[in-house]
Amino acid sequence: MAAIYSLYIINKSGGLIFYKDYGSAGRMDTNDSLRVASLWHSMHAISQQLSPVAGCSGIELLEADTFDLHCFQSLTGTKFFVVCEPGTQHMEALLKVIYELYTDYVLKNPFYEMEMPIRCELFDINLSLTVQNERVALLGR
Amino acid sequence: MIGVGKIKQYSNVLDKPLSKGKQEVSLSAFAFLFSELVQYNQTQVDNIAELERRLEDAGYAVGARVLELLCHRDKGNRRETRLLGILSFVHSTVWKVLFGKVADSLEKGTEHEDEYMISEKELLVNRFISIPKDMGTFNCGAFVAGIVRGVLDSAGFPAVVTAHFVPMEGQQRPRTTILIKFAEEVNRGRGLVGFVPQFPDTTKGVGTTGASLESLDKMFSTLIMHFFLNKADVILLKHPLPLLFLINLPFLLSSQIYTWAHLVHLNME
Repeated sequence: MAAIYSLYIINKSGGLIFYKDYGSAGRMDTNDSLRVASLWHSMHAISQQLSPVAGCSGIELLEADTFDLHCFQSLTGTKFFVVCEPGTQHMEALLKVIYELYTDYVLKNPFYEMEMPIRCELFDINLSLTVQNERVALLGR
Repeated sequence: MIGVGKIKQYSNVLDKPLSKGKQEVSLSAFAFLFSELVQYNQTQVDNIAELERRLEDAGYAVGARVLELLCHRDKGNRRETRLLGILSFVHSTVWKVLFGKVADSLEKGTEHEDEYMISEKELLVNRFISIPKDMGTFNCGAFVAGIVRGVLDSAGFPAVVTAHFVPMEGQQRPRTTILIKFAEEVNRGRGLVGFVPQFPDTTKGVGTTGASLESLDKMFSTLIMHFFLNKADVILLKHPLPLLFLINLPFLLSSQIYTWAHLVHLNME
């Protein structure tokens, strides 16, 4: 069973710019994924405001009965989050790697327009390689 | 003994050799700059062929300069005069300086005699670039093709250079092939147009700086040697000495008429 269910990238205004699901569990149609993205964006913003701690950067991990949601927000406000099996480890590291791929293969691509949906072949290729490696590593653990 | 040689002291700072400086720049900085170059040119054109041409022109300027620099740095102010020589110069020396490695392969075209191909599994400029589907066969390697054209053209081997994606079996990504098609005179000639010897002191001119008679002598002997080795067809020297023409007979008999620009013209005044 796949440990990672799906991956989302949302731009700083809450629009979904990348969505990919892995395996059958937790599959969603386009509308649902858009909804999750904008919902998460708002919840993340609200959590920052509600937090009793000063300088809170928003929710990093949401634990539910059937899934975990790990979120990483870059300095520019782009959010990366994965939905995965409860208790999956090393997701923060994975998100950092995905962020790195984003900066390399998306932002350095002259044909990518900022804040727009990501359609970059090299990003897709390298992302699936990374996720595959992650899966192999998970099986090995 | 190797490694223990004492550092040479130079009395005059001008005698000190120019250091090569740091050989590498940040790949990210380059990638962003190149991306910006493509984006800027994209705003200036309305079709892909035009974009390709503009990138090639940008590369051409780089190539012309790189040739000048490398001839000075690595070859003691000499320039390749043979076709294969200049090709391997591009394939190894130029590639190494620009991309930190030798190009993956240099092949002769199978269909045409006058075509050569430099192939690269992953061209440095294409490392982070995904071409959108609606742009068809566009390749940002056009910039590199321009560099190659700049080098070849400045060395006296005019050619048409293009960049193409070539799908590879068992590989997810196509490789990039730089196709070089030489102009007709290059194929016919034995490098006539390729023969533009550089002086020991090109920037100042021989006469004015009072270069030694010895260097002048050396130059003459090189010229004449090239002439007799059939590497140059015409040598024309303008000099306080009586005007000197050396003309190769088979060349005169050949059908094509060369323009003055094609002749080796050395102005030594």
